[in-house]
Amino acid sequence: MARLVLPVLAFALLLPACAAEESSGPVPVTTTVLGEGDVVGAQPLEPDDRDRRRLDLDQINASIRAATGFGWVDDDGDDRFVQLAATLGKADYRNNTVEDRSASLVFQKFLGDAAHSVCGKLVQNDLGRPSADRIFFVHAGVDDLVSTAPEAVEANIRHLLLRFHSRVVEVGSDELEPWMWLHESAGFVSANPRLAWNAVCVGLITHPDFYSY
Amino acid sequence: MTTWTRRGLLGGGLVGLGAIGLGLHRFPVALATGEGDRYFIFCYFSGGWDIVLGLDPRDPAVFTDDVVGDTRINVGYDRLVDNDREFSEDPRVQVSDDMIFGPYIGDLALHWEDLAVVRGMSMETLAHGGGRRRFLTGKSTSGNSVRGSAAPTHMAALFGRDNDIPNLAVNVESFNLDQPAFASALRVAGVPDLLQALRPANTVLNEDAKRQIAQLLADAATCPDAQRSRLLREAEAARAGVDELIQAGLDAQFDFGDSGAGMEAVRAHYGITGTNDGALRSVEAQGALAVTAITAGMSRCVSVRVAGGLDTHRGNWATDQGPRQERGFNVMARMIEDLKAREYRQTGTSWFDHTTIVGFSEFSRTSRINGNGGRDHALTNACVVAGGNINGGKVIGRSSDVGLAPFPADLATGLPDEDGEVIHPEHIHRALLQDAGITEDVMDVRVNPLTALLRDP
Repeated sequence: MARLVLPVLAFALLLPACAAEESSGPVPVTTTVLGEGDVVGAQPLEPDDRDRRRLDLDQINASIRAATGFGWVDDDGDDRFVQLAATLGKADYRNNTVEDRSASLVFQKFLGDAAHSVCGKLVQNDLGRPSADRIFFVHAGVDDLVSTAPEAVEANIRHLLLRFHSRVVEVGSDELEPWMWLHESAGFVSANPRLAWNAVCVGLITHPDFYSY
Repeated sequence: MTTWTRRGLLGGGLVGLGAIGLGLHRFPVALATGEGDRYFIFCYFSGGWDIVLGLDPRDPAVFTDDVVGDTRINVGYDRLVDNDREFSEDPRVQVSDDMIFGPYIGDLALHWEDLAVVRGMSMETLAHGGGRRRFLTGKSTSGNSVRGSAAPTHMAALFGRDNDIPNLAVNVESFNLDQPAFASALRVAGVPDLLQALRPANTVLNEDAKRQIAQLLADAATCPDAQRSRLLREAEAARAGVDELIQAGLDAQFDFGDSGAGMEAVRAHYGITGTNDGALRSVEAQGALAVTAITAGMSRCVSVRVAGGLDTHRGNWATDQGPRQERGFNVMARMIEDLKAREYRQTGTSWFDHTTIVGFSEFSRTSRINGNGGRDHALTNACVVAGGNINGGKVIGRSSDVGLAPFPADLATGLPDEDGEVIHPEHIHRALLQDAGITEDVMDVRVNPLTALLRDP
């Protein structure tokens, strides 16, 4: 294991810049001197400082199903999000009427569980499909690595960011770097390219861009 | 009227506790020591309890239906329908000269010397959510919204920094408006869900690969957009906490379905009637969970719902209200016994000496029985407090003999006093915090503590 540590740390040093800023600070306020008889119009807009909100449980469940084609289910096929609805704060309209949409520890734990579950199925299932029908390996093969096929890996990650985060990312964008790094480092530590893509999938679902807006 | 003695307690009910108490438990590294070291368990009776059947009874020979025009109280004991028992004309349970309970107090009466009963408390609301939040936060709500953090959140913030899950809430709401994120309750709906939360995900990825994912997410959390967002800051703190929680390896202590002798003793003591999902979600299992979380050093505050279905407006009042309350009181009794049986950190004292248990409901039910044979919502409430430095065997305050209205009490003596104050939940919270050494009004509830609750204020 020690043999793996140094390269992984080296990868860590490559950790990249942030995604493009969504807001660029305060909007300059222009003032107008009003004279008698002037009509007062709309005030200058304040910068958009609304906090992000978390998707509710149904939305997350639907999003995972839409993005991966799989739901988080138990061995009997029963929906785990439904089973855990009370624990995850879904309103039952008896004891509570407002859903808890905090990104709490329990939420993070079970979102992670869901991601690990569906990503394993997604990767497995996608590899069994004809290329034209794939939803995950659209631009890259399972064995493609950053070192051997960087363009294919990047193209596939751009596709996945659009699919999972609704984010259009240009070729060569800094936003791609963390995901390229994850693919490469996870593949290295697991010594399995397939698990690298599995890790990318889990990362995409547990990333705030998936569950918040 | 039934009269309980200490023999009832000493003669039974404690079998198997030794086995539980001998279980190995992990203690937090940096626990504070001393008499002010306090833990808290809040036991919620959901739906609005009928205090005449439990904590604040009336003499059926005095409060007869003939005088209901004057008293506006239907005691109603003769209308109860219970196939498991036969009631005498006066089914109340007298445990001392001063302390009398209703017929469904259950085994909690065995511990009367440890109980302080607060009567004549005003909730100022008839809405379920409003009353529950009123009790938990010590403040009236604004619509449905709370105006302060819950008392367990404050307590966890003050004393729980070193606990793995400072604030654990099982089927009970919790609120954190202004306290550190670590004090927010981990909310689950039962033992099975807690177990899954404490166990690692089932995954094909190895630990190193999972660490790479965690590194990516942690790095994303340092970006300006993420730093500006309260949601994302809390999300990152919670995400990091997941790994710590799993690495703590606490799950085995809550695996009450395990076939080993230790868990068998737990099930026998609490009356957990099996190992299936339903049994592990029962109120009895929640009682075991609460005591385990406290004594394992995992939590500083635990809130559990020990009774449900108490909103008995119709004929189900006669059949369901009492037994459901009694089941909750029995869970509280089992918790007291369990805490007493466990030595507190080799100090010669028990965990009960360091733990305060509060039994509460959002409000009570009307003193008059309605046309449907049930009782509706009433402002006047009661609660029961036990453990730690609680002034056991004491009744504090009273409700009036006309319509069970709130009545002022002297906060220091607990005696009814027209020049005193009507007791509210916040008086109790302040007393519990004072008992733990917090004399400032950290909850900003702006009342004095109900020091009559404390043996040594």
